[in-house]
Amino acid sequence: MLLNEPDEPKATGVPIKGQLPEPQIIMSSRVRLARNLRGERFPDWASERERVEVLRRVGAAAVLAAEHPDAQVIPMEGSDGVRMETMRERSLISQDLVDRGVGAGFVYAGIRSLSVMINEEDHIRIQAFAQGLGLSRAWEIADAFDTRLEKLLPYAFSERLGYLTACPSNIGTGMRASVMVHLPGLRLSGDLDAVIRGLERLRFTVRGIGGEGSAASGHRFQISNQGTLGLNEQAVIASLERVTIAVARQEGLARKRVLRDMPVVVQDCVSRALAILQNAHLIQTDEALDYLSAVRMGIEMGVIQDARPDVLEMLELRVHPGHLQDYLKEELDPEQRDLRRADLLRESLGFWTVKEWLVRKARKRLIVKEKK
Amino acid sequence: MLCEKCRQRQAEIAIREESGGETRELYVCQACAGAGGLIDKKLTSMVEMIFDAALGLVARPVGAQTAADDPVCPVCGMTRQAFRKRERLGCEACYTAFRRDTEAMIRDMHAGVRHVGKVPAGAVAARTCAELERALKRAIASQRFEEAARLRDALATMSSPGKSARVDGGAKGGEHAPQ
Repeated sequence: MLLNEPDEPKATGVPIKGQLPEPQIIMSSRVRLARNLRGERFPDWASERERVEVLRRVGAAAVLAAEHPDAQVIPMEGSDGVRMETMRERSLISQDLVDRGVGAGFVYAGIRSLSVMINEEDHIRIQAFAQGLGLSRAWEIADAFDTRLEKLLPYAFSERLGYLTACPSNIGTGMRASVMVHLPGLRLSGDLDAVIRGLERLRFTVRGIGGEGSAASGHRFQISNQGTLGLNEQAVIASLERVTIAVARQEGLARKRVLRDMPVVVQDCVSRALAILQNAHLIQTDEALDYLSAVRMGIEMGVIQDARPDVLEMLELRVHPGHLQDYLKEELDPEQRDLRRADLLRESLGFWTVKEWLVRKARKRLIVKEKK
Repeated sequence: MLCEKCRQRQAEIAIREESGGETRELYVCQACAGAGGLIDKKLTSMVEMIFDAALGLVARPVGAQTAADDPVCPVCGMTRQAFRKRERLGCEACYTAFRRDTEAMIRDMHAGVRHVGKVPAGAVAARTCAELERALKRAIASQRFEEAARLRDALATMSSPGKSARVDGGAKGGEHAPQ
């Protein structure tokens, strides 16, 4: 069944020798649409009985609108903890939805690119995903589903204010578009802060993901639009696409600069990360993700001997608590997870190394290119 | 307040009662509520919510009158205080009930003040209906009756998509054409 699908490989699997894997600076895209039913109290204010009824109504309609034989409503009440954790780690649901418990649920439309949360902050939250820079694709999926759903349910909508939401920050289009980007080069070159300030001045929100909460440690960031009223959806998407491409370009240039000007720093950064991952016996999710991020940079720059990007992708998912327990087929407490996570990392990365000559080769590749 | 039915016990529940073809809203006690009339759950929870909100405010004693500067949403019972604390509204009507607050928030948060994005299909139809009605009035006022007739037919089609007004009054011929 859907929830037992094997991990979907994102990259091309085992790379061809001598060829660098495509850098995944822009990792994924997401479009979220917030909608509410007319004549019903918003989820936070509604009674449990009201929410249960809304879940029933919206769930049935969403399953119909999904037009997929495997679409089903998954209520939060009585759901399997580990399975829900896995869903949350894949961004299909949020922690708020899990916490809501009775009267909350989501509809899994049978395709990994779409999920519909019910009674989270709003009655309906449509979420569409795409790999890489796929904002337009994600918008198409979300928009098409929304159009089908609106034929089945009366939406709360105002001519002047647009789609009405529980929080005024979401009215209008109700759309939050975001991209996940990987920026280790900009961090190493010291340009990261400037880029973030620039994005914020353009009214984009930048949030560090997976680090110790602050932008200072992690290398992964989520860029999303701020306002939702007074702009149309296509304009926001086009604008976010443009800035993301510009940021990705800056990241590419930063990586080149760093290899050219401070190759030892690169070597040190990647080697340290590998060393910890290969030797730790207890490690938490966020710490593991930070080091894996440095390893990813190493692979993409070509400084790791016999690199296996498919293994890296698997680890990036499997270090998360839900995925880890799901893979091991065991329920574990946090300490046990820290231990087993470290075991998994040592096993998988045991023989990986950063070679001096690979660093020199990467630099040469860069210098030759620039001479052209 | 006292139960509106027995006038003896305290009123605790709001009910809706039909009598003589009319629906009345009453505040009654537990006993009288059990005796008849439908408990309107919305009203009940609205009353609860107002009481809860009142109790939740330290400075406000139970049963205090809500002042003009502390509006309550008539549909869902959300109070301004509760809204500010939760930073979330109770229902769509709150946008009108707390207009001043929401307008200020909107000005701060958003680039524009008017929705220019996607519109649900139902709203498109409603918008077009309103436009047609205005056009119809103008056509009648300027005595353009043929145009008015067309607009009237278009409006009729919109409100009942199955039937369309016949432009010609006579039989169209066919199997049941009159001899």
